[in-house]
Amino acid sequence: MKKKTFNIAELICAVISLAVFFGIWHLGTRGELGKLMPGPLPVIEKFLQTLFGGKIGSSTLIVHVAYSLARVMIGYFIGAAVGIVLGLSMGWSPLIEAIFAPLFRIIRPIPPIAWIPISIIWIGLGEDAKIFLIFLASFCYVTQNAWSGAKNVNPEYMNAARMLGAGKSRILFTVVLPASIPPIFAGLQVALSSCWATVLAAEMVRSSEGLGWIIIAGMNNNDMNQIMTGILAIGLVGMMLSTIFRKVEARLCRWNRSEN
Amino acid sequence: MRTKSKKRIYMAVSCLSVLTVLLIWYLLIDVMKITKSSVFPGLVKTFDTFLSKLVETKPDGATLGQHLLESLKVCLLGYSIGAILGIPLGIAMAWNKWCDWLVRPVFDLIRPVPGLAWTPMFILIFGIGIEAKAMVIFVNSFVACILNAYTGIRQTDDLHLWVGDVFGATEWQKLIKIAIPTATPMIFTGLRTALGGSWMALVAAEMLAASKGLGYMIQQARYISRPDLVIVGMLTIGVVGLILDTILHKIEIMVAKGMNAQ
Amino acid sequence: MNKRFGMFLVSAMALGLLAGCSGGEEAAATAAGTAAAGTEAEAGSESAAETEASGKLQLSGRHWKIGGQVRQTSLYLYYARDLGLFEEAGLDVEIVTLANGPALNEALNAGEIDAAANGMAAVYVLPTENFYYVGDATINFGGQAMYGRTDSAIVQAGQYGDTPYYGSPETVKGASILGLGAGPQQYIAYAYAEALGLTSSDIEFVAMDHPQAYEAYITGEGDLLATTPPYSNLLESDPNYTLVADYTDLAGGPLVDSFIVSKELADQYPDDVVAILDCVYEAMDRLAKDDDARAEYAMDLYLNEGGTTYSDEDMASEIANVTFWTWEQLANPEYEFGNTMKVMGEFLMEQGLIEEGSMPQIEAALNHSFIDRLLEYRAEKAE
Repeated sequence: MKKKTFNIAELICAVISLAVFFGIWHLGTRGELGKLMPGPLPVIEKFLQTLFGGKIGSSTLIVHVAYSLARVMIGYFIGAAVGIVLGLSMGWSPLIEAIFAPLFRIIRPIPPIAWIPISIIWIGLGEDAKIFLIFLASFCYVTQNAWSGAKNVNPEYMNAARMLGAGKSRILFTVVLPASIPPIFAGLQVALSSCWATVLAAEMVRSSEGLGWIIIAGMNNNDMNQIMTGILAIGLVGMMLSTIFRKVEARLCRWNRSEN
Repeated sequence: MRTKSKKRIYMAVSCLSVLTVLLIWYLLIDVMKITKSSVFPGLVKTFDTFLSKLVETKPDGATLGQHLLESLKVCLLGYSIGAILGIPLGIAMAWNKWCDWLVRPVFDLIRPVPGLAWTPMFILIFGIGIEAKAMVIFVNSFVACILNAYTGIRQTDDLHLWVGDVFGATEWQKLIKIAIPTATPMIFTGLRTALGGSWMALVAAEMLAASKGLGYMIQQARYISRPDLVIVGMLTIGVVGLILDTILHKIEIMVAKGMNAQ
Repeated sequence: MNKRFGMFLVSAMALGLLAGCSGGEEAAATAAGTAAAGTEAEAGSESAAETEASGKLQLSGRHWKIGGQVRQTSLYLYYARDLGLFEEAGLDVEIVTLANGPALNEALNAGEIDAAANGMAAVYVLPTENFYYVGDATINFGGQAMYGRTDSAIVQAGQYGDTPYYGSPETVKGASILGLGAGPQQYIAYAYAEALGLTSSDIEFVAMDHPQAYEAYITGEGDLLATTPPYSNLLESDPNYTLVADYTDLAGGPLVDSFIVSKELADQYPDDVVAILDCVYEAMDRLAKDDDARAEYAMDLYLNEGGTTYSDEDMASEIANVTFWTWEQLANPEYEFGNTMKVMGEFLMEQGLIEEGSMPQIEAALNHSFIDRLLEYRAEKAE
């Protein structure tokens, strides 16, 4: 992997690429399409205007972001915790794998949005149902990666540890767990972005705030400007989340490497 | 021999675990009736609905098979376009830093936006036909393919590239002969992830405008208060997703083996 | 992986066995359930009758959650809340806003709300025997309608025979109709096809939410649009679009919305239900009698709670098309109680959207005793 350094050329490229993107959008919406779809300027204007000052629905944009983030974070962390435990156990013990693998593999392809009717019946219309949907998104990705991570640990390491007299649980904690950290982190990152993408589905269960709600309310009123503002906000926050995550991971993985 | 018998035991455990879940479902709803079947259907009712839906077009105008076929069609169309465009772009981004710098900001901005959010816009641009739905799926598969192709190429060992340099290989030769073969297993992982993602995005796509498809079936069943049909739809999505994943996993293993043989 | 498949087949077979063994029991259980429900229904009307004698309503003080939508369908519910009628009556009512009829049904089934000011969609929950249809609500004479493009072959074909509908079997065959699934819009599409001598399989009904369907239609998608206010108002005033068929003509009467209450709660607290009905019919009475106040309130509500901007013309058209019950009308109704449910129930059963043989359950759910009790209570109070 080549080392990445920040430089002027990269910055210029970023500016050019975003400018081209907004330029195409601007030109594209000047013609016939413009009557139905707003160009970038009104969207950015609405975005800035509602960020702290103006309101969409009952709150400012930043409050909507906070609501959505809170839901996503709670669901994400619960899902990650359950997923890591289940995934590692499945990778480590063939018996546990035999029990849970078939169930997990059937549940995994079912998208959160298809769970909405069931979660309303089981959990209701409150916050819990929204968190449950986000939990599902996070749980599936993390379990999958922890499972394959723990399963793909080089058997030679395990044999070596066994030869040196390590017990089963000792092998789990000193060999399997450290070796599965990189794939788990990869899973955590994908899970974070997929949780963030699930917020829209989650807020389809009755809500009156959140970025998903902004888009849903926009859809209900044919307010393309509001929809695009919501999309822009989801994109920006998602971008920030993955950047932060990459930084954290870089740090933890460096620790991981030095330990090995 | 011993591993074989062990495998058999584990298989039996797997069967048992699925049966246990079904049994719990049966006991809770069908026998103990902890909730009314109009709220959460029993196992027997769900199975009946599944069987009758195989031949019956009511209540949503198509049999389960027709819905499934329609969904697979949309899903594979969007998926293959995403893969065809995504893999080369991912490779280009990993190989050429200018390409990376130019594409990445827009890519990072668009990537977190869920497929569902694009739907109003896609309807405006592409209409309500198969195109808008395929576009939603396209976005999904495109992103996964780019990411994995990118990571795959980036994994190329510098040492191998230096060897190429020593033998006077051109950039193009290094890409074709060294980097892409290295990346192939990763690209296949990407293809597999993308297929999973595409299949999941399908329900969202079909919820916006459809007259056939598994997503439409679930949505319609919700509208007419038929939770049994919702569950049949969910399980069908689950099982078909499992089958698709298994097929691609087989191909993935074959490709990985082929690479090693070389 | 083959092994997992093997396992799958095995479990499917086991499932088949289970189903085979218990088929008979299931049928017996359902029969028992129906019988039990029948006696319960009788008990319900009795309990309403029992309290009649006491003259005054005995409120339980329980917290009622009532579902509504920010549209003409539930307008009266919000009006009753904002007039403070519920508090005046000593009721503790919380209004839960949901997006559409199917969402209200889902919440009713899940027990998340106790009652709902719902539309025609209520017909889907009545066969469950868990709810009473206690009152007719908003009356839609127009607006629930289907439009075509004026220059399209369907409209150009002129009126079909002596029907008020535009189009001909040749032009409509294979047409794609956009509209919200499973509601009056789908009814309009199918009933229209039948009126032209076609069947529901001759047309393609594309299920979309109202706003998306409208947006897609005006950008040139689909052949016909089955819609609801405010979109029907927008199309009505545009010469490029022509009214092709209307619910009131197809069904032979207006679309009457519904007020649904959980059967269990209604049986337990009949007086609460009567008091709630008292409030909502009072709100309807006031809405029906004062168009200016109604226009002002509705436009405000739609904007603030729904985010929908109504123009004065939209509002005028809604007032012309949609009306509410007055006390006088309620005492001498022009329409058969719960008729919309019966018409739609029959039709949806034919189309297979409701399971066959559900009609007795739907009819059993139509419960007029609460309105009877309400009218008596008001007569006593007036004396």
